[in-house]
Amino acid sequence: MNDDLNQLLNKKYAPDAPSNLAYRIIDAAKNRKNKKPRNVWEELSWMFIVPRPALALGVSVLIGLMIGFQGGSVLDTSLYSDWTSFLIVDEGGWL
Amino acid sequence: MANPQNHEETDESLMVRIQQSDHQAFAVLVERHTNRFYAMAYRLLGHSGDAEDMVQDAFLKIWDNPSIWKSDRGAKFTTWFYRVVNNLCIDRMRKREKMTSSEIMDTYEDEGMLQDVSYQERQEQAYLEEAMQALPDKQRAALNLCFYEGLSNKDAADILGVKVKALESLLMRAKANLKDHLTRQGILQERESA
Repeated sequence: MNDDLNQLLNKKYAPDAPSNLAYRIIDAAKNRKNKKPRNVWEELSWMFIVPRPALALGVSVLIGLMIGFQGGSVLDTSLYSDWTSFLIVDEGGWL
Repeated sequence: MANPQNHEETDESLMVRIQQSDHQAFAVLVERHTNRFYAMAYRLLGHSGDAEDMVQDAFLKIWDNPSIWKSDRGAKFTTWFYRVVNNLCIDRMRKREKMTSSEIMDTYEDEGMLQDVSYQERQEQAYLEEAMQALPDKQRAALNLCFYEGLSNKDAADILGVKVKALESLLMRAKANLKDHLTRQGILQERESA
């Protein structure tokens, strides 16, 4: 029965590829970008590319200003607490 | 479109040129292998439209991202590409409903296939296709690679990511399942062992 099965398998139909299939694939590739492999230095330089420099600069300035304002108030508070620590005497404890 | 001289270039050197965005090298590679991989995809999927999609997707995958092919690993391009097409086809098979023999007959009719053969032969093909589609994915892929593509057991095992022993077992089970299915359909005669 193995021979019968092999005979039957040999008769299995597979059509030829449509004549324009290769052309369609080649044509579709034309409209797509192909990614060249990059070496280590190119990969590193890609890490520092800023896609929208103007927008990135604007956002950085804004974030910088916000942190600046916040940082200022934190600094004031901490300086104040440092200064007052000299004046206030803690009278609790074993003394 | 493609320079005839390029037909003597190996697939592997064409791939190196494709990695430098050489569209002409891509054209040569596609023209050289479209028929072979289309036949392979058709035998796995049993549907011409799906087979076309898979071959196109596989070639465009290597055009879009040619660095997925690693020349230094020493694998033959065709062996590696069999794996790409095979994996795409297995994904497609999992998403698709399996067809019955009568649906397969309708497909032959719709697509104008097998018009020059008798009704009986067409029906035999439909039962064979139904039996193939009923096989588990890996058994079907193993049979396709070894029986139809003529690959060695080692190459087929590499493509399927299994050991040679496991591949042999897949082939044996595939044939046993086919025999069983086709005997039930009356396509193969049951023979009593002596």
